[in-house]
Amino acid sequence: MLTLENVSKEFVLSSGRRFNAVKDVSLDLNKGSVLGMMGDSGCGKSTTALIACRLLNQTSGKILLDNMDVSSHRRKALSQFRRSVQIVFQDPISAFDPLHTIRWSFSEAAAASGMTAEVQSERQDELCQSMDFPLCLLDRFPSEVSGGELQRAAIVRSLFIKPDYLILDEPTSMLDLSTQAQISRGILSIVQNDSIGILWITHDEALAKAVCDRILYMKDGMLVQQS
Amino acid sequence: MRTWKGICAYIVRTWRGLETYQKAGVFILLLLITIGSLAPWIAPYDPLQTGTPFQSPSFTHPFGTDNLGQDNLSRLIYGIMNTIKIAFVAALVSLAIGVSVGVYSGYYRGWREDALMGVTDLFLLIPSLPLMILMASYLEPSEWNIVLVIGFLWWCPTARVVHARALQVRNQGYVRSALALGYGGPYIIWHHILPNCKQVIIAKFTMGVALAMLAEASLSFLGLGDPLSITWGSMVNLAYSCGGFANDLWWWYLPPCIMITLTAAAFFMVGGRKNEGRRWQI
Ligand SMILES: Nc1ncnc2c1ncn2[C@@H]1O[C@H](COP(=O)(O)OP(=O)(O)O)[C@@H](O)[C@H]1O
Ligand SMILES: [Mg+2]
Repeated sequence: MLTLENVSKEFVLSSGRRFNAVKDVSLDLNKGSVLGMMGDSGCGKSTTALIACRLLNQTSGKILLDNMDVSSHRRKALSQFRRSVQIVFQDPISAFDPLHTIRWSFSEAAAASGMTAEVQSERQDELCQSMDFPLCLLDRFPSEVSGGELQRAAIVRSLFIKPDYLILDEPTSMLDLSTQAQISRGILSIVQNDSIGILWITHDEALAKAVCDRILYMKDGMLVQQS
Repeated sequence: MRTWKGICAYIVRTWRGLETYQKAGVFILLLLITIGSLAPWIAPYDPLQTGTPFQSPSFTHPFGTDNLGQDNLSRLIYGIMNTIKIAFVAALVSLAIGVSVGVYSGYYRGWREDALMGVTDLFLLIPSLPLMILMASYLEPSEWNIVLVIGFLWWCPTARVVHARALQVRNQGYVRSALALGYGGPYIIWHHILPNCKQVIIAKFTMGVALAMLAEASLSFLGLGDPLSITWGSMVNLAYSCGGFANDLWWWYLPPCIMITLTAAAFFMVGGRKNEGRRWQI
């Protein structure tokens, strides 16, 4: 279980003023369940997501993994925690280093968990097939594939090291409608097999209602309602 | 795995991506370096061989001879590699410092950024010419002084632009993804930040070489260079101190001046790039 306990985030703006982007948010993400998160843009969803995978330090509050406080982990312990929670961002273009091929980026992910080359290529084939990512695109650079294909690749990469939790930060909001549906289906087909905990941030109410076990609504940095 | 084929393909790809003026710059530089490295075979005389001093241009000495009767053309040719070598080392030193400071402060941010960028701003305030003159009056003349002055002054603008670029890159999704995969700062800097700062780094480096050449000329002119090493700057200095200017022996001082300008311009051409507004950018 991944838990956020009374998490707040205060940004110090360059004007010197302070801005509370996230206020006293608490949530539980269970393995094998899908938790939806909805809210207007700018209400603090992405900030919450970054804090949950410890890519951003919270101002106050705690992050717990299986009831163990990981909020003050540093270096090795932090890396280890981060590997158990992966995140897919809204913008697929910037998710891949423009100077490397997609295959390279996959190898980077594989190397992070110390996979052997054999296991890596097996996992790569398996994930690319489930996500419908054509293997012939592997040796292309990010600028040479479409946004939808790139987002599939980003999801493949995030699942490469078998994380326990996956955070999807509006993964389809920059794509066209038919691609959105395909990608959502791909994600579901994968996670139904693995018992992975998903935090799915989306604007698509129908999708959220269809796939999520629970939906959180956020407004001005606070959780306002659950359903 | 980098094979020869891969490297060749990379070179071809890079070459195709260059603007025409950049290709021209590369061409000039390659030509100069070829001539320079073949100096012992191309130059008509040993640059240190003395003879009749102050000769005017003739068939045997196209650019005449200097105050010791040394052939000016030969010295010009031998000067290519010396001049470029000093400028290169100076630019490398400044690049190493500037890139390290810029990337480190841009990636780690926080108090380290404040401290390092504060120091950079302080160094930016030091005017280079007065410092050179000051050094000229205290240091023994040596070609390493040029490396010192350029290396320790030109790193600041490099640090500034690399810092700005690193700030952009660190917020990209791929850096965050690498962090999420558990990679640490050194890995990310080496594999993502530095390569993505490549363009500004190359631009700053070629500018650095060009500026170092100009600085070498001025420092040699001020007498801070090594009088025994054959560089274009020291040739101009010699012409000046031995009356070449006063007696208007243009074939003595003009060729090295032109070579300095040409080579510096070639480096500028390689590193300069036009932005969308088609204005020159440094
Ligand atoms: N690095 C930052 N510095 C200052 N303010 C920020 C920063 N990141 C986000 N914010 C602000 O925090 C608020 C929440 O942002 P975000 O979490 O991205 O919203 P959402 O993902 O829900 O659209 C926004 O008002 C945004 O302007
Ligand atoms: Mg967002």
